[in-house]
Amino acid sequence: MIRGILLAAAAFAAGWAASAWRSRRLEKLRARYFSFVAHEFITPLTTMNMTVLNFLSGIFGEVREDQQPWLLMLREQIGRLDALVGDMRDLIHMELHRDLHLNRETAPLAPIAKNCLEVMRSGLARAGVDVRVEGLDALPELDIDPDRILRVIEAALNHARKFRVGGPIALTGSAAGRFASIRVDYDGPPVPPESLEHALSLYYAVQNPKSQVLASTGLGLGIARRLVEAHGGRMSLQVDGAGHARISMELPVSPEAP
Amino acid sequence: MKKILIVEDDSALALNMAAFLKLAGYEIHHAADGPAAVQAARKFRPDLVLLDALIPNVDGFEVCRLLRADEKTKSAKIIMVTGLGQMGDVEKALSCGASDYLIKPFDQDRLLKKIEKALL
Repeated sequence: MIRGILLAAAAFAAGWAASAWRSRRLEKLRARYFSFVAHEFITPLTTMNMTVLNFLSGIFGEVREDQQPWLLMLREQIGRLDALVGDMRDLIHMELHRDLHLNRETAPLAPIAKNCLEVMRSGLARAGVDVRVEGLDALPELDIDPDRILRVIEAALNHARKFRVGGPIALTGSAAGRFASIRVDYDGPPVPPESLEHALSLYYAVQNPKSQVLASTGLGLGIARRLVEAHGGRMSLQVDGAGHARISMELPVSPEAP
Repeated sequence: MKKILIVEDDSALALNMAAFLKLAGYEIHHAADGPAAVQAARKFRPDLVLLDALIPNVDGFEVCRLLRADEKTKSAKIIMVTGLGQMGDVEKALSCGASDYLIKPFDQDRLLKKIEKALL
């Protein structure tokens, strides 16, 4: 009797182990497949971006003034794809490989924000959005992965652009000890506390209360928060009763900074 | 004039990098796979090699080892270009003898900064 129970238990354990092994193997294959797909997007995107920039800087000959807006629009669309693929790649490494690696360097924030705004410029202009930047030039150099932080700022600005009900978006920065504080302020609709609680969670698609259409994929701010946390910083979203909203992030100042 | 060998199997990307870097004052050569890269490096003796990690026939990591083992090419700076970008790949590139690495997607600014830093 006992022998029978032990044999059944052993068979169950062996079956369970085989199933767990298959599951791990399947997960690895899945991770590898998604990594490959993301990688296959990256080279054409790099090429398209470089081609547009070569055109804009006159390397392929003079571009007429009336043609430039079209190239800028194309650059903006490439930037959106770039951010999406970057998010997908980071998500794969966060959730499947669990090996997200930051390429940290000592870098000033102002040129990163400038680059981000440059890419978003034509879209912001079309939407009639005024972005006011203040205090970024005075920040000390940060210890950051510039590409990832560009995407974090882009995600915050995109969120503000989607949810603002009017008025400008303010992008401001100030230093406080070993961390720099970066804030994106805008006026949006009031947000119910239960929605606000999850707004920076991965996969939580924030809904614009004024419409029934989902306004986000649930990735942008969720991934941005995880990236900020991977830097040792913090990210939050606060909205008061009148709809004044603030996305705040803290990023580490470089040890090399004075 | 400093010489740069671009090792990249995507010809559209190679052409764009070449157009930009020529204007920035570099002499450019191009190879599209591993064996051609080793041959071109031995022939042109570049100051710097922009070496894509995923190229046909012999991958970039192995090309990097071969260039480091060859008297004619071992002093060239090598920037490994990768779309992979995770810690393992970066460590692998550096352990193969790469001077630095550049992660796709990148733009002209980032490319030029990496090159100027390597050639200092």
